[in-house]
Amino acid sequence: MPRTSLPDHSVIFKGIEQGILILLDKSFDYERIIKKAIQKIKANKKFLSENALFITGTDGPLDPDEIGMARKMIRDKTKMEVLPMNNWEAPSEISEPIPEPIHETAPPTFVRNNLRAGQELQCDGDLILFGDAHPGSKIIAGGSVIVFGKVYGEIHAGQPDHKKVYIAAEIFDPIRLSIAGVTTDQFLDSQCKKNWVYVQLQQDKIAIFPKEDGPNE
Amino acid sequence: MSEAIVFTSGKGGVGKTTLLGNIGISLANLGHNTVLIDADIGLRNLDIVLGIEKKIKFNLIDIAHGICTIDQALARDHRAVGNLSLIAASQSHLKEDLGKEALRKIVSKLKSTFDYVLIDCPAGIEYGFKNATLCADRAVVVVNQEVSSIRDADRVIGILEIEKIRKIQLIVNRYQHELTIKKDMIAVEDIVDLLGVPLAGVIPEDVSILLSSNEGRPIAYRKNHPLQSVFNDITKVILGEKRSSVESHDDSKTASLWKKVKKTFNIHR
Ligand SMILES: Nc1ncnc2c1ncn2[C@@H]1O[C@H](COP(=O)(O)OP(=O)(O)OP(=O)(O)O)[C@@H](O)[C@H]1O
Ligand SMILES: [Mg+2]
Repeated sequence: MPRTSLPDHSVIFKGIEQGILILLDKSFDYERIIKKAIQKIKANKKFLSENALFITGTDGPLDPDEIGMARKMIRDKTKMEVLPMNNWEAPSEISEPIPEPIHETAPPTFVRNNLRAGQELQCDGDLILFGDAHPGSKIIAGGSVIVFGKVYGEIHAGQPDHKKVYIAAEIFDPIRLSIAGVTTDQFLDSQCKKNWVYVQLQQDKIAIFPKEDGPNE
Repeated sequence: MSEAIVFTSGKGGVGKTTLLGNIGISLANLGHNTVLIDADIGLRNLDIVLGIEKKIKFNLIDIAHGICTIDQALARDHRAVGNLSLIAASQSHLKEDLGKEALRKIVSKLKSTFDYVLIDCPAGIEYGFKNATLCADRAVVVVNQEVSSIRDADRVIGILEIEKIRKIQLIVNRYQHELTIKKDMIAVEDIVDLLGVPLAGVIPEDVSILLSSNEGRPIAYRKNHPLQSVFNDITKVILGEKRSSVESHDDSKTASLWKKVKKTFNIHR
């Protein structure tokens, strides 16, 4: 199984007087949090590059080692400089995060080849695949997935909170399937194996719809 | 232009060595200057299948380690019409004893004198496989009608594609017609459809293949044996002729993006 992705609120961007403050929730694995922050920075690079960036922890200041590690990793991966801001006081109520969830801001990924056994395709946002996902392959997308082809491998769409994502495929017979972290053990009926279907959550359960209905976006 | 073709499969025992030997013979019989390299170091098979074990004085590792020249290690099989030569594997070394650069140099030297260099690749996807495939311009992937064999072939094709080996052809070996008709075996079309690479041909399950290998007199040398022409036909496809057979495969895998979109949205134009 893929590692569950971190919830969106684990890294929050906040507009402050001096620029943008990045709040890291240290209750998660610190390195993964930084990686998540890097993803978010990359997805919003244009907007962020016009502002000074600062970091601190959601529940209090970061220690010098943590600051050093975050600055270095962010600099290496995004070429952007972040400054520590340890005197920032969290207001009693955390305001709305500025960027939208990653899968809505990350550009869609287009892939035009077959995914073969042992190959894994991972992306932050929506994925459109022109090709087949063979048995033994794996797709992990932050958003929805549309496959112009067959799906026989493992497929996971949407981060845990993004319940509106869907999977659409020409022929759908995956070995393992999850949407926004919800999985199913049910075997698909043979119709799905031949016709376009949409798969989406309905009352937190995986439900399969024929092509005509279309997903509820 | 001379070409190096690797025979590979992922899964072991599917018939790489047997097919490579027979196709090598067909190539030479068609007049092409052909050399076979047994790159399955540690498991010397190809000279035995061809029945020229006694002619082997030096091997691939000897060349790589500077013990002999390439010419000294070439064992000529005089039964073929054209030039057919073999460089055998060493039985007493490990795959890792053959350096990447060394094999690449040997292959590129051979390409300056031979039309075709066929490389017999070890099973698996580790060092020996990587080493053999890195020297190749093209690949022939051998597969049986078995789920695990097909899965391994898919994995191998994925790696070959990443290595930018553009031309990959498939041979389905040990085909069992009766069982396939009864749907007890996976149909050739389904294998081709799943793997999405063009089919060079199908070799039936036939005990005479095994017996001929044991005798050291490969089928491709047997004038009136029906399998000789099967090997010849496959060889011609490898040489670039179009396959004439019935089960020409659905090209949806290689279809253009526009074709796929057209199909999906029922656009008729
Ligand atoms: N079409 C066939 N019909 C019957 N037997 C076959 C056929 N093809 C190969 N064999 C037999 O299958 C066995 C394995 O073949 P071979 O050694 O060529 O496989 P391989 O893929 O080279 O194996 P390895 O991975 O160990 O190198 C041999 O005994 C061979 O004679
Ligand atoms: Mg072999």
